[in-house]
Amino acid sequence: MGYVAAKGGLEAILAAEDLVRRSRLSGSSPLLGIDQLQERARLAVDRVMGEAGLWAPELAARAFRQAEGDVVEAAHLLRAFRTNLPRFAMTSVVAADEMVPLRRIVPAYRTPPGPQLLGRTSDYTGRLLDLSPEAPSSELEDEGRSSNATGAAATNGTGSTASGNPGGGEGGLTTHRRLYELLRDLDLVVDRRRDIAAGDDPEPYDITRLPVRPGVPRSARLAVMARAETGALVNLWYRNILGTDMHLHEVTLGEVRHGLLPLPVIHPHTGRPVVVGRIRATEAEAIEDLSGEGRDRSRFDVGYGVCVGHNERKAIAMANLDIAVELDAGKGSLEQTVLMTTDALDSSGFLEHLKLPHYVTFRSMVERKLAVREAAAQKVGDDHEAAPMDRAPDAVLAGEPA
Amino acid sequence: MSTIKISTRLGPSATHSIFRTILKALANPGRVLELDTPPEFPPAALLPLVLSDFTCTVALVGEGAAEAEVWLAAATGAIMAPPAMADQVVVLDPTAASPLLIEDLRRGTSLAPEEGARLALAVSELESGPLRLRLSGPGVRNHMDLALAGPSAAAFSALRRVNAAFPMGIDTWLFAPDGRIAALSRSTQIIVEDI
Repeated sequence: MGYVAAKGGLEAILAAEDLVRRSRLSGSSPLLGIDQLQERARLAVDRVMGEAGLWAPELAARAFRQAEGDVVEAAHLLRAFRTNLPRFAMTSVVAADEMVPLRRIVPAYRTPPGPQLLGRTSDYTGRLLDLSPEAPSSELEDEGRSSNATGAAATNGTGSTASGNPGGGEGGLTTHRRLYELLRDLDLVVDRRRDIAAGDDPEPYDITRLPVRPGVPRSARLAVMARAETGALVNLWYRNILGTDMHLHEVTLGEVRHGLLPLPVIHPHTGRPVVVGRIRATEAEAIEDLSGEGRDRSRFDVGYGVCVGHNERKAIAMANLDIAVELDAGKGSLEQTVLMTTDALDSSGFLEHLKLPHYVTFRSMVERKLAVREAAAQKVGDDHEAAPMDRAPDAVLAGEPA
Repeated sequence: MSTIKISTRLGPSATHSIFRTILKALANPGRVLELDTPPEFPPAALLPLVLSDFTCTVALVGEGAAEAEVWLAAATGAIMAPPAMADQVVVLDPTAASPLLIEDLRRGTSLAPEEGARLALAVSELESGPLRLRLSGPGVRNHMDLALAGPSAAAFSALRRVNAAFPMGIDTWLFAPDGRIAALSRSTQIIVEDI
């Protein structure tokens, strides 16, 4: 019996897979090109890479297309692929200041060290669905050439900023001090620097090889959040600032950056670092007011967020949650929630598996209910005669007529 | 022995096919499968060639080990280590598989059984030969017999001993010169019969 059922199931599964594949490949419009997806669905492709934990724009675009636009499914495909890749080398540590910024804003301070580079953003744009006919791309290119001489400047859009900082537009190739450093000079932040000269420079925790549980070092927490589902982090952030968790009070953003980070590896023969490529990343620093009970009210504290690709919501939520976990200090469940419930593959995988047959588990649950009822009926039956069930449960479940 | 070019690496499809076959063999202990073996590699060395990278430690034992160490390290970046410390241990020469060597290999711990070593053992024949292993356990319906030649009966008795405390233990693959392989999972019960 069981064998027959399994066989029927297998046929249905193969037919379902075929239906997915054929529907995906057919249709009246041409198949989306990988290059199109990378260009036109840039943010979705970046999210897939970030949540998968692999910088591979072409493969992420391919996964996104295969998953018919389902970001979590695409991240799943890409992360599964990633687990089979051999590691060729480990990159050397890169200071975040080595990022070549495509965008850099300091919402907390009008004239920070270095420019406010608004870059490519719709932060100040009204959310209006544009129904006007779209201009051919050749016209747009001409427009870009006349307003901005270089490709980098074109990426930066207007170049200058809402605050009208005269430094705006000059950057893109130089590194600038952070607002955090300025606050540190003023002794206005909790100093979390490690004494690297004294050897306090631990290797980052590799969450792809080691299990993550509460109590892991901060590097593990940051790595988990960098790979977490954007929506999960945003929701947790919102719970903390406006909802029931309340670990955050007044958060201001010190830095939000999007740019290119170099990937240096040590050359096996020369022993010197060689930049083998660049990835785009988003960085955020969140300044927390420390106005809560029992806090050092004379100072701020700063949380940090960084993730692969352009995903400001994620980096900002991450920076906020980084400091929230620090402030919670293991008293509540926030650290556990961040570490163990924000991964897209974990949560979605668990949810999706509910759709697979649970016939045996559910049958055993039904039997437990009936056993409880029977036991209760027997107890009652000591005094009164228990009413017998008028229909056998098997017959009801099988849909037999009464 | 022929010299193997240090630059030799397997292409992605060859790596994929060997990886799948190695996995399938372990899922079906004792079942003999055919590997599409590139002639320039000693078959047992294919295990670290497809499974290791620079985060793995590998030990090579037996005739030709010194030479294989050079190209394997170049091709994969794997770190060479003594057998007792290695993630993957390759015995290139059937007679080098001594019980002492096998008992010395890492078995992992109950909490970290994945730290048990993977053993690639060269045999001179599979499906024929004077040694017969009667296998049972997960992945084997009832039981099956696997005949082979090369390693001593004592080597398999040692394997039986090191795999006595599941989930700790050693997963073993047997590689014949003609490219046929079979695996003995750490959960496989082995009865050794020397005919």
